[in-house]
Amino acid sequence: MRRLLRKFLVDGLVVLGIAVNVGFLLINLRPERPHLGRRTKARILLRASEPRIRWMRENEFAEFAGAKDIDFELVGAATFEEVHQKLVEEQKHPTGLLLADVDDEHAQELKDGRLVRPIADGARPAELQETLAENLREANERGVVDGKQWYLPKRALVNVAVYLRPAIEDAYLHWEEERKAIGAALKEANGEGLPKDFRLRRTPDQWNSFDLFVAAWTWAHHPARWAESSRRISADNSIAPRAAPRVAWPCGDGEDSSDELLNQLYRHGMTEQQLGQLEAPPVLDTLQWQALYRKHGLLPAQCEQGGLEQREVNGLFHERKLAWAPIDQADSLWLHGGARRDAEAGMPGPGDLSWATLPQGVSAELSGGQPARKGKSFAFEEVHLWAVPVHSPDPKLAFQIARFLSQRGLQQRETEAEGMLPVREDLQKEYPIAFRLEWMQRLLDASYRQLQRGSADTPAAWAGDDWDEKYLKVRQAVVYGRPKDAKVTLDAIREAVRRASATASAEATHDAR
Amino acid sequence: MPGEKPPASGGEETALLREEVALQKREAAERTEREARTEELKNRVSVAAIVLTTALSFIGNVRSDRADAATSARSAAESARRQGAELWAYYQMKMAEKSSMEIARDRIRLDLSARGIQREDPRARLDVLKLTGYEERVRDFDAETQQVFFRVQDLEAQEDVQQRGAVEPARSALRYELGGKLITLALILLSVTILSNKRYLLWAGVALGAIGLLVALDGYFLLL
Repeated sequence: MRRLLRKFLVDGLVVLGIAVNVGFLLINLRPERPHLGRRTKARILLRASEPRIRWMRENEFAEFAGAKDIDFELVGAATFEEVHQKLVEEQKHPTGLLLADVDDEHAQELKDGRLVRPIADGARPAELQETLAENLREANERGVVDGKQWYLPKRALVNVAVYLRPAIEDAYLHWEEERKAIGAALKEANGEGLPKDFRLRRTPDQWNSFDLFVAAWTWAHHPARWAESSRRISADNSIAPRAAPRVAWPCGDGEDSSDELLNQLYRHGMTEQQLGQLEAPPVLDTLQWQALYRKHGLLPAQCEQGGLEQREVNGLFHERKLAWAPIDQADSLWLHGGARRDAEAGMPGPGDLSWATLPQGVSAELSGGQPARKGKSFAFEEVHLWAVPVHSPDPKLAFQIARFLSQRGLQQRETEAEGMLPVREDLQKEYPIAFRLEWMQRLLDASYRQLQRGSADTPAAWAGDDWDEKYLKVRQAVVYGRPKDAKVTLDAIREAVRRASATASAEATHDAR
Repeated sequence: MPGEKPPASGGEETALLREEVALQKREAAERTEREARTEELKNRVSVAAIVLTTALSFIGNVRSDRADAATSARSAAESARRQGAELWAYYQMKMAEKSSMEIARDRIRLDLSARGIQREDPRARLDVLKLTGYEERVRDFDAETQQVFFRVQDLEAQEDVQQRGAVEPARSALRYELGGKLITLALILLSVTILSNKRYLLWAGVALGAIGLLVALDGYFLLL
């Protein structure tokens, strides 16, 4: 019996040995790693336009798909609100959404609504630590909710100022010709005029509210050779240079407009604690400046009508109709156009573009010949995050994908192609080496300077408690609801704010009934 | 003769002879059995050695294939890096040329401004002609350098992808190599088995060989 067993064992080993050799023979025929499993389907929700999704599919997801036998289905959403809606639907009727692209503004809300699960659940602690160690601490913190890593930072965006260099040159050379008129306009508002010893600063990076106003005035009153009549646009010399408003920011009652308004309020020194105090000095100062711009026709006519979304402001810049506007990195790349081979053509003469931090907000009101209240240069930073939907079929794979996409090379190329700010620490430290195009360096210089000079996370109550709508209503009433020649003194603005907030309260009471 | 033992009787002699024959038979049987065991051991060693040697040969092939793939990906990455660096140097040279054009353009503009002459002024005809030329060349430089940059971008992406592409074959090659070394060690043990005729060495060799085969197989599946 024992002999039989031994014989069986020996024969078995021989057969096994032969089988292994046959296996190795087959491996020799195709030595690359086997793809034995079934192909997995992965649905990823991205807040991106169709061209951007196409770029991501070809340049980022394709490599991972080939290596891991995955068929990616990339689902697009135009806004983060739409992403939120899709995650709500996903929670109710799971469709196998593996990973989603969300923003930090919605992070708490998504968690509270049980629409997502912690991304940390799909990773080993050491793996998670390794990944987080590569990112900027502040970016990682945006992904932490209640002490747990719910999200993984993806990219960031912050508004900076974009301007045309010839326009700055023009303003610098000609503003003194307008000094009297500007002084008179400001005197009407603050009783004094321009600050004592005012000189337009040479670079927009050092500007405050007065500099921007002076430049806007000069541009609006001087025919601009550098604008739509520029040789950049057409060799046709018959297009005569004309004077027009050359400064714009989102206005009207859209979401972009409310974001810009909040940015301006914070630039004038508002804090989260002051949210809801409609007569706080930063609110009055912001509205007084806006009323001044409106009164003197320094903003595009569209602000009087339906308003301007950021997309439309960018469009005007693209046509060289503007000289200065707030903009983020992604839109800057679109404007310039020179980011990648298949990118949409940029504006004519993109070499004239440059970027700076946003101007320091100061009050129009003077004290001792200088602005009575000083804010700072400020812009809210928006961090985009990877989130794992609550019914994600494979949180481990979701984490692996998010990690793969945060690699240095991919993040660098995505920044070059799409214009988001990288969240990797090494890229931030080495950006002058990593991003070698001169214009891109100028954009990144301004962006990182902006983060240092003044930036924060958007207060949750702004949209959460509908303050965005309330402030917009007040702004519309105070700036655009009064006759164009209405007084723009601080007292007049305060009175208008008082009336507008009383009307808003009455409407709220009526609605409640 | 007196004092001599009487010769053994026929029966005793036969018994002794039988005993001797039995002893010889036993010894012969033992020898045969020993020889059979040795033969069997030799056979098993041979079979194991054949299996392992064949496997080693296949593993050697596939290891060299994977190592070549890793090396080729690395050299493609290096080549892309080198080409990118060369193109980047060209880009910078173009940018330096562009800067000199920009300086020339700005000089004319500053000169016109210092003389208080507008572009439309007939006195500025030559300056404007030159100025337009410089402006056009600066614009052309922009277009050219952009194309160079796109190519640099492509090469950098290629370098990045190739570098990542080298990782998996390198992991495979490492496992094949380790597996191959374990199998070589197993073959040495099997050789010693024949010399020393120790059965336990056969099993040690087979076990080591089996581990080597498993490690080599992981070079294909990359499970660990």
